[in-house]
Amino acid sequence: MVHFLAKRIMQSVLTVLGVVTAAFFLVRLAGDPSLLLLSAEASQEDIARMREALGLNRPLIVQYLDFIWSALQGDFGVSLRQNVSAMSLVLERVPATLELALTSFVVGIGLAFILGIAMRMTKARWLREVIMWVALTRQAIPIFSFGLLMILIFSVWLRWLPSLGRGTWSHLVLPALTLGTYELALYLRLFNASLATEQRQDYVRTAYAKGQGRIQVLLGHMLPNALLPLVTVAGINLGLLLGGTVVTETVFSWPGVGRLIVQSVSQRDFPVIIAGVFLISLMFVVINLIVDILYGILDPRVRLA
Amino acid sequence: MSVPTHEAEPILVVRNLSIDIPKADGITRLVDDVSFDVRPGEVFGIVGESGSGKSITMQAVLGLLSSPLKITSGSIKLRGRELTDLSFEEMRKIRGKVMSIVFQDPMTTLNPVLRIGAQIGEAVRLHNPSMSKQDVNRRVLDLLSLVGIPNPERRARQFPNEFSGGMRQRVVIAIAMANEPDLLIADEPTTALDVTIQAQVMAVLAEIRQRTGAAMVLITHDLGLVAETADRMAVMYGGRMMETSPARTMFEAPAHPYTAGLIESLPRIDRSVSQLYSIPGFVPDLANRPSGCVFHPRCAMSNGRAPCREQQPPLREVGEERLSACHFPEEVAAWQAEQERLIAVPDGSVQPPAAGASSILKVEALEKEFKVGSAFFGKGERMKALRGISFDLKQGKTLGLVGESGCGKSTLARVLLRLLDASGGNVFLNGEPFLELKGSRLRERRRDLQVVFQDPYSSLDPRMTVHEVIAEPLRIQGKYDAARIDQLLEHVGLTPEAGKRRPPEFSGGQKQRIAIARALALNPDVLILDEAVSALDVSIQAQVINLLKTLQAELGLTYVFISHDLSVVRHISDEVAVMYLGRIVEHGPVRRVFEHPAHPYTQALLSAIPQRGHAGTATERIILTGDLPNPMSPPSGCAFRTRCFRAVDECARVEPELAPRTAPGHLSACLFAGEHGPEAYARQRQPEETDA
Repeated sequence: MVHFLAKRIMQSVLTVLGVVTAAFFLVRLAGDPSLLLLSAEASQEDIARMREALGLNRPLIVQYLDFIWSALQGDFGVSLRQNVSAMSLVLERVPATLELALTSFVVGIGLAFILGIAMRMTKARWLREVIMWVALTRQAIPIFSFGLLMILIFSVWLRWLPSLGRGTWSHLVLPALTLGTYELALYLRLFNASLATEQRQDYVRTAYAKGQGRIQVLLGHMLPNALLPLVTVAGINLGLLLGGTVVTETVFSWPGVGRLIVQSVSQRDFPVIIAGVFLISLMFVVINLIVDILYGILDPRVRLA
Repeated sequence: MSVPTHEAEPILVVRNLSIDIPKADGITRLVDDVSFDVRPGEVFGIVGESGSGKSITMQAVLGLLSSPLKITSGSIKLRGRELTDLSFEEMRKIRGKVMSIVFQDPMTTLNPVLRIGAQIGEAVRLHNPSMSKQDVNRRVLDLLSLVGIPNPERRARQFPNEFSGGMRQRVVIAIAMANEPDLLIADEPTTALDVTIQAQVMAVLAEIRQRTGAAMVLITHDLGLVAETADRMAVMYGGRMMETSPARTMFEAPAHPYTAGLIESLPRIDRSVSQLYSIPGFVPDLANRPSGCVFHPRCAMSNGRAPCREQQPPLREVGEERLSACHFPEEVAAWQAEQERLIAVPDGSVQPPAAGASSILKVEALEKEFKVGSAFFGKGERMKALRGISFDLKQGKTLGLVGESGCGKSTLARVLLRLLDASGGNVFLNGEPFLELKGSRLRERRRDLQVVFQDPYSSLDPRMTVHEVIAEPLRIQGKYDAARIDQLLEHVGLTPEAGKRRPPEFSGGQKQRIAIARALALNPDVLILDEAVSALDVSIQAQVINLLKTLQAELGLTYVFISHDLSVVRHISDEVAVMYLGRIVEHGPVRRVFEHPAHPYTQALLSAIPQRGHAGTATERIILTGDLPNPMSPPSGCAFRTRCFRAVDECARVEPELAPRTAPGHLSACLFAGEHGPEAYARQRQPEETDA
């Protein structure tokens, strides 16, 4: 186990380093930030002075090594726009992102779990088919159109819920519902398929042969097995959610990390982009590490080595 | 084996049972008008090939038919109580209590994420709700010791993946016996296990039944196992009962031509025949069940007589305790005798090996090591999968390679084919060092060595036409020729029209013929047959074995025939090599090895095979204790010594060479080679038995 952890932590560090490195070079494609910081009438000398002030005139490799050296000391630089630490700007947005991501994750996986079990227990075939049809339809509607539809119904027509921003719990309902139902559709389809697979396994027949009842077989035997693929997908997906759900955040003007990064790209605010990417990749690898450990606990066939 | 009491009321009475499956194009009857009794304390064998309806019948008895299968008529009475109209909840109280079942594949019948103790405890608790937790635990440990699992306290806390196949099947038996049922159904309980483990598991079943007096229904495709274990037996075919009779006389006096056909299709360990009888045709398509007798299209005895075609024969009494569903049961004995005469080999007619036949596949000190464990961090361990494998195979001959799973026989095949790289040693194919070939030279020579795998369902690409399947090797070698493919199809007994269809449209036996045609496409010298007939039903297996023998004679092919089935190996091979833990422990001419086995392992393997004439003589059987040792840390000295009934201290120190010890040309790797196995085994067991 210790060996496994050491190995995985090493791999995670390499992953984060790789992501940050790629981000460092890719943001340069956005263009020269000094042009945006100066007025349109700025002379060549002004631009050159600005580039020197920002350190952009140095060779790229020197800039990179300098950045890595500072980052290792926890310094991701200063925002080119707001003159505050880039990392503090990102960290400011993290609670909003966590709030939205975790709520929609819990809503999605919780409902998928309940509906998945209910679909196995009901004898009404039509009910199963209706649920699956709704799930598929929801998955087929893009986030932004669904979000706008929600705003139209609940904010514009019914005037029940605010359409923009973050503040009270009522601000959270629409974005969480938009994202949560999308998650729900994904998990439900996966959970249903994996329960259907488990139902055909021989150990289910063994349990019935002992004289076990239907519900007990479902919950005691099939469920622990059917959850295994769900854990893997849920882990990856939670990582994606925490990375910021740019579309949802944009539709509902939700002040999350994703929207901050997108804004920073258009403003060529390099330090903020890289600080954001660093934080997201860190959360991603940590969640995946947790999923792997969880898997080792849930499935005795997997040995963490 | 217990003596059935005829007076006693039967424990299970099945009458006119029919089971249907609704399909898009109408209803298909899978089990048709089946009737039988099971008496208290007896073993009732049900024999049949796939699709015979034997498993479905017993699932119906347990009330475990999976939808959309449905009982459409008939009655099932357990201890006089009608089961067919009981609700799910009422059946729950009977399942696992009054009757229980042991399924075929112990690798899948246990829940992989639950502890063994919990899975056995569940069965105990369900029918004893008032039992305290401590009592349930105590019962679980008792059950584990009862089925011969050492260290029950520790084992109960483990998960199924920490158990070997044989040990898992003991756990499944412990679950089935948890409430000492009156009726135990064993559905192919040992089919997925190696022969020495099969012997252990059957011994556990026999012992546990003796203690509880449970009756057992043994469902199997293995005629030998039934003859040896059962008191009475039934033969099913195409969803119908063909005959029921006392198991002991089944081999001598079958009452139905299908039974007789099956018996004649079986390769036998105790004699040689020129070729096997093979029941013509295929397992019937139940959606289009033949009229009259369901077996008549494949029945050589019927000869197309009108009653066979037109009337369904009822199951009627043809002798004491014997029922047969044949219009002409009195002809069976004569028909069988005639077949025996046709396939018999006159003594001494076995050709001696043609002098001067050239060596075609020569293997010298072949080694294969696998690195196990992480290569990134930490040190990888090494597992020796093959050690010092040497043999010299002459052109036109067959080398049978036998051993239990994990002995390295399939690894050897893969190394010979260069699908895996050898770690040492040489292979000479037609005198050329095959392991050293590279690039285009290797590609060219590969055509001389082809392979047929075990599972015809997964070894053929389902989306390609059969023509394309066979064309692929030809195209790779730039030798595509449509006429050649038609010719190949005819060679393996299919029509050229078959080329237009795709593999899923064919039965298992036909698919294996296609795989053989593909392997033959490049005119190979040597064919490696890796369990090539193991997945096939007895009657189909005989057809394919006969085909292989015919092709060998016509084309002068050389075979490496890998199998766990010693009877088949005896029938097809000229010489045989027995492998254990990566080493050849015995090698010699086939008759010599089977009639005078020199190595204790070979002696144990041979004695573990259930066969005719063995009934009631189970004491002669050598039952090996334990499982195959972990190949990562093999025992010192002779690797077999941990399970060997002959082992002495010396065996832990020296690893005996594979050398001629009992006769020239008959090699074995044992210090005590040749001493008669069963006698030594009996001597070694004696003190134990006087104790008991």
